[in-house]
Amino acid sequence: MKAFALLALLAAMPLFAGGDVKPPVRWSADRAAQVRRDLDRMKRAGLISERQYRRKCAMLEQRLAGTFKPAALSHTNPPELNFIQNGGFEQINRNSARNRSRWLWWGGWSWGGDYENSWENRPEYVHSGKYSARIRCLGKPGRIGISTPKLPVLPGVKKYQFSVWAKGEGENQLFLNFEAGARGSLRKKIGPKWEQVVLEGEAEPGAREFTLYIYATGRGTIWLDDARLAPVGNIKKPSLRRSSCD
Amino acid sequence: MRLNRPLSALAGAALALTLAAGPLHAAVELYVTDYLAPQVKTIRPLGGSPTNVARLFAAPGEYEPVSFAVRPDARVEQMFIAPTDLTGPKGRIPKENIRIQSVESYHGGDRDILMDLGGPWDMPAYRRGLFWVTVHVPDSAPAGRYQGQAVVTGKGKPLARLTLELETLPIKLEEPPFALGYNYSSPKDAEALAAHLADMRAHGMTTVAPLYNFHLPIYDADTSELGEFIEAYRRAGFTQPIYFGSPMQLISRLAGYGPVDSARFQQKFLAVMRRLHAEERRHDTPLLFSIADELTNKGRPGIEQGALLARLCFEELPEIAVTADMNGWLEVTTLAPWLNVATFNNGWDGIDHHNHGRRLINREFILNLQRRTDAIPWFVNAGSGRFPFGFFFWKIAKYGVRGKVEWYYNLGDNERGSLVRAEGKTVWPTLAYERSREGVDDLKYLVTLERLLAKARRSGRAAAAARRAEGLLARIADGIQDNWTAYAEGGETFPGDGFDVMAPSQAAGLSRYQALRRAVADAIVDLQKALPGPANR
Repeated sequence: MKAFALLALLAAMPLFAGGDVKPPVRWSADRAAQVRRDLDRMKRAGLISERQYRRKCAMLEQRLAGTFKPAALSHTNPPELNFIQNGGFEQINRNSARNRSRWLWWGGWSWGGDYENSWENRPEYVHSGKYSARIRCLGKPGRIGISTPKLPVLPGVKKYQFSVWAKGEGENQLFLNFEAGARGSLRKKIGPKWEQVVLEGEAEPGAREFTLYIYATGRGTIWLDDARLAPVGNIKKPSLRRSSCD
Repeated sequence: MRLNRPLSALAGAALALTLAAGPLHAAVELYVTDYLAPQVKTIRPLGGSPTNVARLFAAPGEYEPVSFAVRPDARVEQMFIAPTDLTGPKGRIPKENIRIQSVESYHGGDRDILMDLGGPWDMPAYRRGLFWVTVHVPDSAPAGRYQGQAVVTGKGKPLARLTLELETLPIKLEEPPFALGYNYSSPKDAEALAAHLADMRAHGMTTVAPLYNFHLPIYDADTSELGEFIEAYRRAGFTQPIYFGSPMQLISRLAGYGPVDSARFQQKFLAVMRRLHAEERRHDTPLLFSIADELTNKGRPGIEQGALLARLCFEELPEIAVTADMNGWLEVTTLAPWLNVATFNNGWDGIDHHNHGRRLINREFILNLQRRTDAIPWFVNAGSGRFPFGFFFWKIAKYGVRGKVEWYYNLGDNERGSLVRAEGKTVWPTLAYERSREGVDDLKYLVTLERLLAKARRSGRAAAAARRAEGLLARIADGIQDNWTAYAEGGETFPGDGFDVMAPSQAAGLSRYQALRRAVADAIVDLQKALPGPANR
């Protein structure tokens, strides 16, 4: 099976961490003993095969000796703080419905109207990279939107700024909205030249999460690229590492 | 023309008298149907010939259904159907153990539901009503023959009868050694939770897979809902580990912390998983955590994320038993080396077509997976209904599959996909849900026979009966394809044409499926008789 060769390759190298070399981490005897008890419990419950049980016990030995080298644990973060992943709309899902999100990471829904979401690769309609996101009205206007997953409200941080590069044709209407834990909205017609649209949102008191929606409500077409969403102000790295309950 | 009030009342009374003069209690057509057939108005009699005698057999503790159709040739006022006790020389099964329900619209097809009759209703002439009777044989019911009726009445007068002939078997069915269950959403209500868990247990489930609407300790350290669920699960008598599906939402719920390969995401992920595991440790029920949800739907980038997360769990959380809900060949083969359990459906090509037509629920893949990885295979979303839970699962489990979790007990606000309609503590089952129970019962009969057979082989006794049982099991196994695609996409059916294990005279009054189960039941009785010792009877 060729895929087993692929998984051997995946096993051999960190997938995303850019080849970070992690220092060996020694586990305490107490921690290792507790893990061993858990493994024995797993075994009694039929939740671990004999071979995996032995593999994990061998790893525990290496953890105790300080010789184990974790391959998956990351010690780095992206250079720029951006809550949004796939902000360039480069990762597309060709198998998706045209009135839903066509992009990985983003969600999407339609509330009526005749719209088509799609990826765009004509260079004049792409702000950077290979693709932009295109939302086109094909007939009756209504409301279609793509959304972020739930994003965290950081402790002590009230304001968040969303920006996206946009370009439009026809009687389009872009509607940006902070929702479900934050407030702030913007509606505007987008012109034929690329422009950066910026919207600030404010977390509602007590909110722990929020969502940002990008809607199209008019006729015409809107292209979107290079979206970014980040807390406003000086955010110290530790406060980002430590969320509200860490 | 507008009548004044006295005249109008008079005219109304006259009209009522005229209409009331029509026949009220004419012949009522009633015949037994096949409960596995589509429950539609055109349903035909079981076996082709109409009969109002339902032949049932069941082991103590078992729930056994029969379905029937009723159609009067004249309007019936205040129609109702009520059971009598089932009586026999050795005892009585009270009518409280007999539930009569009508087939009602819900989500269509096998997702229509069975509802209790409530009160009497007026039945138009020539309208066909579809009904199920489910007999719950008490654990203490002595083996033997019992008879009773479901009586159709109009204004309290008997109009037709369904005769119920029940044979209670001298068999104690064994619990299947597999995790069988449904995804489940928290009702946020302790009484409803207890009722739902009891209902699933009564439908033969051995596990539950909590997924949506359960609190995850992302912004606090509150794991009390999980703890309360574990305790309710234990009280309900489930026998297998909990399939804890909620953590699969963490990839999405923590998306704002950064990509899966960032320190921020990983630290948060590990913290949440450790909090949940700490709650697990406080109880005596093991959990299997599912960390990813069908990443084949996200193409190769999704699978890379899943592989990293699975390996992160293997290395940093070896104390947690981990799986992932997977739906593609590359996804399973890539994640499985880092998972305790590889849980998958039959798979599809993926959004970028990377799987090139490979399917997963087949003998070759399941054996290969276990040769190449340490993961234990389970199924997820591999089909509800009698065959997927019963004979097919029995056959394919021989290659190492240990569990099966299906979509979905109570999805959202009774959304499409739900196997029941739940309102608080009240549950109305879908046809698929009831048929799934029959599948689990098939599995129990097969497992019971296999255990008895093993006992006979160990003891070296009952050789002839053991040979007959072995022959029957081999014949049934040979009649089942080792490949789910044959059934799901290839038009194969079970039992296939010409696949019968009983003489037609013995199988009279039984569906082909029931005849198959009856053959297994007879083999159990045969072997029990041949084996010495009261424990085998």
